[in-house]
Amino acid sequence: MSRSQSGGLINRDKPLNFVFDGKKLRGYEGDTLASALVANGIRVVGRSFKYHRPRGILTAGSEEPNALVTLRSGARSEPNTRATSVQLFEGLVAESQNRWPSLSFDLMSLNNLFSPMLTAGFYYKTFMWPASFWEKVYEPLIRRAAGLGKASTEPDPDIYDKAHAFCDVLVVGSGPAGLSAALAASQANARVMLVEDDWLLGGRLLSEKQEIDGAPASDWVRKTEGVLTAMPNVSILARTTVFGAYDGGSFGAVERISDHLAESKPGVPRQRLWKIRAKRVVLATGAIERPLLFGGNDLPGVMMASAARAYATRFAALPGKEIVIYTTTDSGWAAAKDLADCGANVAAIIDARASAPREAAHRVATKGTRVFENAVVVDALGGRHLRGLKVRSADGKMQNLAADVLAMSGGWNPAVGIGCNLGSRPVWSDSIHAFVLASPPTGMTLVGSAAGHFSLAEALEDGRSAGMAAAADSGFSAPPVGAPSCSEDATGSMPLWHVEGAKQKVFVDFQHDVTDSDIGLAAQEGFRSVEHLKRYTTLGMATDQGRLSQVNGQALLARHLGKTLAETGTILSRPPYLPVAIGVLAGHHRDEHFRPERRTASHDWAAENGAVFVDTGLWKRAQWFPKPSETDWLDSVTREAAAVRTSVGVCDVSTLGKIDIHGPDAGIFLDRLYINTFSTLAVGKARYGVMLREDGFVLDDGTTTRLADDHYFMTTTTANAVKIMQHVDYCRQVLWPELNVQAVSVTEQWAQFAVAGPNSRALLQKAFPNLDISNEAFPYMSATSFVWMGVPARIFRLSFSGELAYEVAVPARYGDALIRILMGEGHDLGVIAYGTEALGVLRIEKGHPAGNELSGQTTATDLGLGRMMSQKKDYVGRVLAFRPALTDPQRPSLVGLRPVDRSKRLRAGAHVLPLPGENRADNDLGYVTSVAFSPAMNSWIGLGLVSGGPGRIGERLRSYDPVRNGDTEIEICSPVFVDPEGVRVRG
Amino acid sequence: MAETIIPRGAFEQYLRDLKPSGNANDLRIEERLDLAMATVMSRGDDRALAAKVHGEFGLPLPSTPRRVSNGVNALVGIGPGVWLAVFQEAGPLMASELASSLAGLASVADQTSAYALLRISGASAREVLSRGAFIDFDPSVFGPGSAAVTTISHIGVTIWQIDETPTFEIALFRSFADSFWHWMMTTCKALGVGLVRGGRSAPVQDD
Repeated sequence: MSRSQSGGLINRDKPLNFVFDGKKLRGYEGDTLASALVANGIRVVGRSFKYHRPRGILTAGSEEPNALVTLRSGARSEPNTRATSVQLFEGLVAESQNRWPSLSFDLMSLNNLFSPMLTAGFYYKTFMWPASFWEKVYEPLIRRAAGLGKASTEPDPDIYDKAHAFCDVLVVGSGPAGLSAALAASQANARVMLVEDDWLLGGRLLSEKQEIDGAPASDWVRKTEGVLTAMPNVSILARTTVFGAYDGGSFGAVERISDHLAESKPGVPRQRLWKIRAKRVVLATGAIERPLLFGGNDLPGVMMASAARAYATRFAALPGKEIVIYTTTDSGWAAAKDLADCGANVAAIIDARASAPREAAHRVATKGTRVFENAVVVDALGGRHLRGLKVRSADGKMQNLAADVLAMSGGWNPAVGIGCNLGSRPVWSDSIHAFVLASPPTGMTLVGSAAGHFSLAEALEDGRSAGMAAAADSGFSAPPVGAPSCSEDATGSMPLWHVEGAKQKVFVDFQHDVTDSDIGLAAQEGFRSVEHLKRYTTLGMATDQGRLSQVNGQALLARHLGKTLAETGTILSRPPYLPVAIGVLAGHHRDEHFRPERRTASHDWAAENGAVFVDTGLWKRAQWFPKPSETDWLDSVTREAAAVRTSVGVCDVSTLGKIDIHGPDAGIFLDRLYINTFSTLAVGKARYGVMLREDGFVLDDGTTTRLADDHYFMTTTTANAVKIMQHVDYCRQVLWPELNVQAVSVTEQWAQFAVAGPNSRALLQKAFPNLDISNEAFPYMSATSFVWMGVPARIFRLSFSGELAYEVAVPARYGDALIRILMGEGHDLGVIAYGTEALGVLRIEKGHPAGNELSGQTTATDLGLGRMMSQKKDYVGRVLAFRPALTDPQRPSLVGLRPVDRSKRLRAGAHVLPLPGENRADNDLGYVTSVAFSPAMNSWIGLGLVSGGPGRIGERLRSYDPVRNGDTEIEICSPVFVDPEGVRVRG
Repeated sequence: MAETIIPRGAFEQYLRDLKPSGNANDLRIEERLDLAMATVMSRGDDRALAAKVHGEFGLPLPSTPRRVSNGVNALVGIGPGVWLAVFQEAGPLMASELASSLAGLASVADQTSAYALLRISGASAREVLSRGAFIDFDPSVFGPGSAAVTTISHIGVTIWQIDETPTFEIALFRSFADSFWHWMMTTCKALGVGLVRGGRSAPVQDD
């Protein structure tokens, strides 16, 4: 254990037990998994991606490339979790990754020996041929060797929530700049949202011993948090990552509600997805420390100076017994001071710059720390972890230093990721030796370290002025207040991209094992753009997205090309900033709630009567109503269809699209929409209509009724209800705005039931005794609106089945009552309920085209409806419907089909071929679109689209079904199998 | 032959099981079966229509997404030249009566049954709605009279605020009621908000 007796933001009264790789360990409340591992002296936490080299904890933040673990087990196991971001909880279980059989002995580390084969672009070079090996051999091999943990294959037991938020000022990050910005903006009364990734506010102030207003900075953090929490116009979201910036000032964020618990409490989501809309955003995301390049810089024990500092100060966990600082920055010296103040043994400080900060150097030297100026680390020494360093002084002399931790600081890269999401490109700054976002997107301000202003004083002042400005931009002003005073915070730095003479591999991208020589090779092979470099070497393509490695890699590329970093530039970052679980994007929309479902008014009645439901788009429709004695769906469907032909059946047809068309020009409008004429339709009459797309193919069909001079009621197919509503709106708003026509969907207003069969009139007369629906008073295609028991009702004499039939409509809230009345009144008449399958059988028996025939590839003539195309008016699709290809008499057109052997079954989708001849595509005559077992014909029947259609009636062909090994001789017939003269429907 | 028919609320089976009272943070919820609704579509002369509406109902015709009410009759602007008329105690024939009174100026389509209308109120109402709709419900932005046509959980909704309690009404196509209820329950549960049955939810009883 390397835990200090006092200090840090851990609660020593709350010890927490956890297990890492089967080893029982103990940490404290306030620890991360990483800090608890550091405190327990665990050095090797994972193996690298390609070479399987042992790796230790490198950082103390979400940029961690090495300490990736599989957190939890079973259904909740989550691979590639950054130990540095996991808040420790009682009973935590984590496993290291990428090692086999164990972390200490990894067979795959043999890859190290073959490393000459695994250079930049090795995928492209090594696994080239034969091509057939790609999927079968190479890919599985690469995937197994270069795995990144394993996802659970069990269903996710957690729930995920979604939320939206609006604010005037969104502040991302709660370090000194973020807190200062939130305070200034909120004091101007702007609505402020402060979002922090950590569970504590404070950012760098949690792990740096700084002073604000003459007191420890932590006091100021607590005080400011108190002020903000008390303000009604401020909302604070901790444990929340803003992962992307999107158009119109919207941002995506994930709140980790339960991730710090062993498991979520019942009903409480694990995570919540936030969509945030902000008028202004202040990006106070800080900066990420840059590693230094030297041989063996990936040895466990080598870590970032800021991380060593954080472990010592915030977590009271000293990362080593003999710590050496290697720095090119003043912040490295500040880290050394904080480490020493925490009781760490800082054995030496190596500053690569020509001269170290005078005062600081003097101070540490008096405490016995060796100071090296103008010196570099050439190689790290050690096997499984760091034991020493090879240091080269300014005079070229090499010497060895003992060290178990090397804390390195190579400069700071402002964390501008989210700022790039909308396309703003970072530019090189020679003053801070890093990329900065000079032109952030409109409404966004970067402050503090994120803007490259690294001192505490700058952060506080930046935040204050940006907070005030953001509030003012959203219309709020406040009396100006000054930023608080604070401790001095030197920010000098020098870039150092390269070290000569390293004996070991120099790692640039730790997670993807990209070395400096890989980058040299890529440059040599002609990959001169940073984007190509990235893809060829996979630099920055690991889960850490190159937060540590990118700039070092680009600098090496620039060096090889003899260019400056300003010239080579850098890459843009896309959302998400950090990995986001798919589950939180799905939210509550999973399993059967994947999409909303729609239920008809008779749904509950149908369910009570045993209906089997089918999905028709979003709708649940009754497919058939099995009787207890029926075991096969075909028995139920055949019974239902037969009952309609002999007695009466009721079917819910409410899902058909219904559109009210109003206005003085409604008739003319419909004439232009349909191929046939509706302006001449009498009030109280319905007419079947067909619409074409602009390209001349059939769009949809349905019956439209004229209820008044200026009021039509249009119906569409269920599948096209929304599309036709859009088409109607498009036509009246865009094509013909001069027409005085109004339209609105009334699909949901009416519950509508088909009542079909020879007893339908008798049934309706019982249910509506005051209505005269005799054939004389109410012939085929009549319609009437009336008031029934105080509510509006409609009856249409329409038939899809070819029987005497009606459709009855009442407002949907009375639909449940109506179905019960119809079934009750019809009991003595033998009424049955029928579902969509029987509906299909009946329409196939009558040769009515439906979805399978209205496929978007058929013309009105193909469907036998060519005679409906009016010669006297224009309509949508008229011109293109007469293209030669669409009027070719050999086009497949609608016919009926029967098996010559009546006992044979037909299959939809089967191809129609001539009797003699090969089963080849160029012999194809068409295909079977719809089939049904017809109780009326006592055999399978079908509809099909066959070349030369009606001309082949009586001809014998084959229905060839290679999918189900069917080859059936068929006879082409009229598509109307039942009552071809239409006597029944008019009866 | 049946003597009467009973309307059925889209949320009836869910609301039936709720308790009539709970704690202060609970959301009060009821389905308004007492309202008649219709889409009113201008035939072009909006000024004449506004005058007619003002004369008939004493209501200004809102030209933005707002709800205006005279205490009994309300109009909600839901699109350019389109309003949702929401009338209390108007009965099932309200749409045809409204059509007659606005004849020549507006087309009217009955939507009384098309929309299931939920009324929710309580301190948590804003938060619950904001979980579903990407609409700013802050009192400085969305207050009594504000209205929005938007989506919640992939379901089209029209939302308007009644008073500062706050009380909101949500109109959605009734076939989506079951899925909407699922969203409501999961969201309230995730927020730790309980649901209690509001005043007028009991189904109309006839004998």
